[in-house]
Amino acid sequence: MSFISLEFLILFVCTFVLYYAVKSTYRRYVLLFASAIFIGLNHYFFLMTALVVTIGTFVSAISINKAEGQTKRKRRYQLTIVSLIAIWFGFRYSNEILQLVCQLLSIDNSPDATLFSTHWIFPLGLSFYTFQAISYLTEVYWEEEQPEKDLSTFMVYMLFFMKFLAGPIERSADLLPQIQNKDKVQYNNLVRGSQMIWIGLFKKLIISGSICSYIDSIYNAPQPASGIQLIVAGLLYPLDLYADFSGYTDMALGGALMFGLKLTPNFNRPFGAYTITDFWRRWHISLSFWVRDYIYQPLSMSMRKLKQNAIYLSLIITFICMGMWHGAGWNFIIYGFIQGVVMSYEIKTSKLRSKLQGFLGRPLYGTLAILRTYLIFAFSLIFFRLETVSEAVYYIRSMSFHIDSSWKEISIGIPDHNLIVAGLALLLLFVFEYLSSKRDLLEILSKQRAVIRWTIYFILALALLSLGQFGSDNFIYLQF
Amino acid sequence: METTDILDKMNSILNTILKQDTIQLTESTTAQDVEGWDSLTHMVIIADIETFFDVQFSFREIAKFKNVGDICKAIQAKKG
Repeated sequence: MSFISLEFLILFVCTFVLYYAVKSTYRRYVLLFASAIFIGLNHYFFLMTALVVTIGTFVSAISINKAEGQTKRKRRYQLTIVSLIAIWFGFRYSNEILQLVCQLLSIDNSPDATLFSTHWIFPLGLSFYTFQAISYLTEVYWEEEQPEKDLSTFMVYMLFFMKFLAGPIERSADLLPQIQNKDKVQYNNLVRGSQMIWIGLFKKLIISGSICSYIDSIYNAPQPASGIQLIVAGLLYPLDLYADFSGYTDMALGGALMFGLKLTPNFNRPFGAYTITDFWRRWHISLSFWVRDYIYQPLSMSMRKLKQNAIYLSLIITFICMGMWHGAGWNFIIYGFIQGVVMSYEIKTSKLRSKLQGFLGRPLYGTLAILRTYLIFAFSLIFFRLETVSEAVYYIRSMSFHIDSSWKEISIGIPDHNLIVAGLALLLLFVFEYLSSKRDLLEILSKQRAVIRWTIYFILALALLSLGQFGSDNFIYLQF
Repeated sequence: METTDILDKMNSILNTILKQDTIQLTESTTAQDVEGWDSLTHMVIIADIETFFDVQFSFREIAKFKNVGDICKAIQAKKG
C-alpha cells in the first residue's frame, strides 16, 4: 500500500479520527491496529515477519536486562543480534543462497523446477525495523536505556505505519517516550504535519514524477541510448532519488506529526555539501548516523592504535556495510566502497582543501566543491541503480559526449513541459530549503492572516492537482 | 595529577592533531566547541591521550565522555 493511494488515504483518515476520538491511554492501540492493517494488507507474510522480529526483540531486551553477570548478558545480547542479522541476511540473500545450494547439490533451479524455484520476497521494511531493533538492544545492553515494559508501546515503536516502509530509522530514546506521551491534540502539529505532507507530495509528484520514468527508461535499457543520454540520465538520477526519497520522508514525518509524533529528519540540503563526508551528514541521516554509532565508532575504537589508518579502514568497512544494507550484489558493495574511499581521501587532503579555498575564494571554491560532491555521488549511484557490476561498467564505458542523431536527444525523451515544470519546481525547492535553513518559513506562513494562508494553500493544492504526475506512486526506497 | 596539567597536555595534543594553535580547553568544553573535533577525528584524539597518559579506556567509557572534564576525571581515576 503506497502513501499515494486511495486505500492509504482511507486508512490514514480513519486512524486519525479514531486516534483523537479515543482516550489518550488507548491511542497507541489505535496506531498499532492501523499499523497491523497497513503491513498485513501489503502481505500477511510481512506482518508475520515483523511480529516475530518485534516480539523477539522485546522479550530479548528484558532477558538481557535480567541476566545475572556480564558474561550471561553478553551471550544473550550476541545471540539476539546474530539472530536478527541472520534473519535479515537470510531474506536479503535468499535467492543467492538458494542458487548456491542448487549448484552445490546439482539441483535444477530453472523456473519450472518446483522445489527451489520460489523467488523469495524480501519483507517490506525489514531492513529498517531490524536496524531499529539492533540499536534498541545495543542501548539496553550498554545500560544506556531500560527495556520497554509495555509490549504495545514497543510494537508501535517498531511497526508504526508512517515510518514502516522506508524509515526514518528511529532511536528508541527518541520515539518511545513520545508514544507514551498523553498530551492533547496540538493544532500546530496538525498544520505543520499537513504542510510537510504537501512538500513531500510536491517533491514526489511534481519533481520526481515529471522525470523519473524517462531516467528509468535509460537505466533499464542503456544499450540503445547514446553516450550523451547516459551522461544526462546519470546526472539527473541524484535529483530524482532525492525528490523521491526525501518526498517520502516528508510525508512520513508530516503524517507522524499529525499523530503528535516527531520523527527524525532524514535530509538536510544534501546538495549543498562541499564534501562527500559532509554529504553523508545530510543524506539519509538516520541511516548514516546509525552506521556511525553502531559500526564506525566501535570499529575505529577497536583499531585506534592504528591512528589515522584506523579511520580510513573503519570508514571503508562501515560504508561497505552501508552499501550491503541496500541489497545483495557487488554493485552495492562498490557503491559503499566509493563513499568510504572518497571520505578517506577527503580526510587526508583536508589541509590542501583549506589552502585551495583561501586561494580561490569562498564563492568559487564553494561552487566547485558542491559540483565535485554532486558528480562523485552521481557516479557512485550508477552502481546503486543498476543491478550488476557488469551493467554499471558497461554504462560508465558507454558514457560520452557523442550524439547519435540530434541535440534533441539530450532531453532523454522528457517532454518540454515536464522539463520546465521539474526545473522550476527544483529551483523553487532549493530556494525554499535554503531560506528555511535561515528562518522557519512554515512557521512564518502559519502566522499569516487566515485569508493569506488559505489563498496560498489553495494555490499550492491547485498546483499539485494540475502539475502532479499521480501515476508515479512507487517509491525507490521501498525495495530496501 | 592536577586537572590543569591534564588540560595543558590535552591542549597540545588537540592542537597537533587538528593542526591548530589556538585551542584552549576547559572542563566544560565539548567536541562541538572545537573546530575539526568530530566523529572522524575523535578516535585519533583518544588514542593519543591514551598513549600520552599511559591509560586505556574501554569503548563504553569513551562513548560516555560528554565533555573534556569527563576525560580528565577518567584519567585521574586511572592514574590514582
